[in-house]
Formats: sequence, structure tokens, C-alpha cells
Amino acid sequence: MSTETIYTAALDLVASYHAKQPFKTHLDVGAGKGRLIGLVKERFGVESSACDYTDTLMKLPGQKVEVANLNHEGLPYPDNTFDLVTATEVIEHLEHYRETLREFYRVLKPGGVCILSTPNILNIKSRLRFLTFGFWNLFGPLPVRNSDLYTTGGHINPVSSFYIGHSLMDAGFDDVQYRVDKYQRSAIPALILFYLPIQFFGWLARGKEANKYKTLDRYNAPMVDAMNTVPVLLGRTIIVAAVKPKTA
Amino acid sequence: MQQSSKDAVIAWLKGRPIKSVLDAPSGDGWLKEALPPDAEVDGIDLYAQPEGRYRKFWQHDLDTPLPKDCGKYDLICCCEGLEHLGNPLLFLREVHRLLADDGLLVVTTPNAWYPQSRLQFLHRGFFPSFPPLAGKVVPGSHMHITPWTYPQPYVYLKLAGFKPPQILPEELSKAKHLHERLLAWPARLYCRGREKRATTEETRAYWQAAGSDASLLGRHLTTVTSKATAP
Repeated sequence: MSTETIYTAALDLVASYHAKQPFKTHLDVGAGKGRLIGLVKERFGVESSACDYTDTLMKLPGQKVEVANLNHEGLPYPDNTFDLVTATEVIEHLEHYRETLREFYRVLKPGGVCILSTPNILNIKSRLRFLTFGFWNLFGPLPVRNSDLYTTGGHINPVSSFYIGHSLMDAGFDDVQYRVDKYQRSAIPALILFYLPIQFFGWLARGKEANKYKTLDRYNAPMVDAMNTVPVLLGRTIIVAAVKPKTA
Repeated sequence: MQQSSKDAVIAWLKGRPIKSVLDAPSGDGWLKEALPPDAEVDGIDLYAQPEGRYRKFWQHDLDTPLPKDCGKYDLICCCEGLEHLGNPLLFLREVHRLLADDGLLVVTTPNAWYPQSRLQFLHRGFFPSFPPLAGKVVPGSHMHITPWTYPQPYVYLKLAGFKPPQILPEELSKAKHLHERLLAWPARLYCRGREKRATTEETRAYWQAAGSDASLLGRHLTTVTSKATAP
């Protein structure tokens, strides 16, 4: 579920791209009540298209919602339609987010920007929760029966910032950038306690990947290096932006 | 695929009257060699296989719908395949379509829950055997992109129309070191608590399986299931 801080962080990213190349067409996937669409109109004066699994949630008067279940179908828009696609707190609900990111790529115009967010499972508290209980923050345990995939109980797809970046690049995007919505104050004591071991063992592991397994290169090294930074270790939600290249 | 997982699958298969099998992905073809000679075994994999190993073989990407000319099978084995897929539910739904009504599905994957894996996630953010992947995806590269713990295949198999999976314990379903056993305790206590509070048999069985040695300590998850409903 998106929050005001997620919207603010996403809009700040949008603004940084808008300053370089103003966008005219926007699609919000998982539009819900239309809060982000309202904010985009207010801040950038752009009319938006909305897509969601239902049109019953929309609160904005006159806002049309295209209904599509992305677990079973693609986006109902032609290729190269939008300058900006946003999807806040969506991919963790999807059965195959990589396919959805390919759809985002398809409907974006060359030079268009995709911005999405998802709970940050690399947060230090989330890592510790996984270490001790096996579940990340905001991911499970899922109800055994009658799981509603569209609530926080329906977070079926924990994806770390690295794999989001990897999936975006796999889909054809470039220039992957990360932000977090806010630092979790409650994560600071754990960070103080574990920061040095994480940096030390992370450094050892990075060296092994780079020198022994040769899995690092200029594309993925920045994304790997971002994983153990303070913003990622403290951030609650990860916001990711990527650009569809102007020439394929 | 680790020998311990192969041994667990072979022991489970022993004595079962299985006539038709789909090995997906077929990898190095070990399953074909382990089955009785009269079993009709088809294979499917991203990579080509030596001629004549399988009755039928398709070179095919499992992230896309399975070939239309696949038959119906008594047994479908997906050994060390699911972690390579970006769209595992599509594959599982296809498997459901191809499995006979009383057929069986075997799935093996690396287990992201074993203590060393959890420790590695704490300090690296990656799981063992899930490398950072060099650059953009190159067709043919060997990639683990989807980590699995018992709750994940449970949800995905149920969404695809299968019964709750049962875990087959194997040789590596135990702690190698004392710290691994200690690290598994919080999760074990948590699962036991949830098991005690369970109000249905299904929920109780879920937490019992989730808190088992094979789930919490095993290097690999080897699960078996069968069809429950239409997906």
C-alpha cells in the first residue's frame, strides 16, 4: 500500500526527469484511488491514464480506469504510448513482475521513464527478520487459505533492489537509479550494531565475486555496490527509476 | 543438481508405477538414467540434448507456454529449474495442464532458508548460488533469479491448482555446524507456535512443514505434490 512519503519520493524522481525533458503522457499502473495521478496533475499539469485490476477504487471524478489483471494479461495500450509509467507498490503483488516490466517498456516511448516502488527487503531490520524468522518485513507469512493478492497479505513477490534493476535492464531499460522513501529510525540501532560486520563481509564477498567468479561488470557493479549503503540499509521503501533508450 | 537431491528423488520414485514422464528442465539427463527402462520419458530444456536420449525432446524456454504437442504425463519433474524462471507460475500452470489427473509433480530448488543462506543475505543481500549476474541477461547464461523458501512454492503451487507440497527430506536436510542449528531456532520456535495456534489441519500441516529440519536446515528443497483443482 502506497503512502504519502512514497508518493513524495516518486514525484521527486519524476521532477528530476521532467526538468530535463517535460513529459506529456503518463500512465499509473495500480492507480488505486488515484492519489498519485492527482499529485502528478497538481505538480506537473499532466493528464494521466489509470490502469488497475479494478475500477471500483478510483476516487478522482471523471478519471477513467482501464481494468487489466496483469497476472493474466498485458497492458491495454499500444506500443510507444507514454512518456512516464509509474507503479507504486505493485510488483510485490504480481506473479511475474519481469513480464510486467517488459510491458512497461513496450508502452513507453523511446526516452520515456519508468518509476516504481516496492518494500525494501534489504533494509537492515528486514534482513535481521529474515535471518531469525525467515520472512522479510511486509512479506508474509501469507495466509494459508483465501489469500487476497491485492492486500499487504498478498505480497507474494519479495524483490530486492538489485533484482529490480536487473529485471529492468533485462527488459531493455538503461540508467537505473535508486532512492528510498524515508529512513526508518527504528532501524538505526541495528545498523549501528551490524554496520561494520556487514561492510566487512560484504567487501570480502564482493571481492570474491569480482576476482574469483567474475560476475561483476560495469553494468551490475553499481547496483551491487548500492546494496550495502546506508540509505538501502535504513530505507523503508525502495524507489527505482529507469529510462527506455531513445534508440533500441 | 546435488547428488543428495537426486538420491531423495530416486528413493521416492522407487516402486512407483510410472509410465510417462516429463523431465523439465532435463539438464544433463540424469533422471532418464534413474528411471526404469520401460518408462516413456520426454525431455524439455533451454539447451539441446544428445540425440536419442528421450522419447521426445523440445529445446524450449520454460518461461513461455510449453509446446502444444506435449502429451499427458503421470509424473513431471522440475529439478533445479524453478529458480531460473522469471515467470514460475506460468510454468506451473502449464505443468498442471499437462499432468494426468492422478499425476505427480516433483520440484527441487535451492533452499534460501538454510542458516548459512540467511547469514549471507544479512551481510550481502544475495543468497548463495544467486550471483549478481554479469551485465544484462545473455541468452544461455546460467542464472538463478528467483529464490525459494518453503512458503513460496506453497503459494505458487496452490495458485497453480496443486495440493500443498510435501517436503522430501534428504541427506543435506540437517545442520552441518552448531551455529546453523542455533540460528534455526528462532524460526523453529516461531513455526511451532503458529502450528500450535493453527485452527485448521491445513494450516497446522503448513507450519509443521515450514518448521521442519528439511525446510529450515536443508540446502535444497525437494517437494512433491499432485493436482487439487483446475487452476
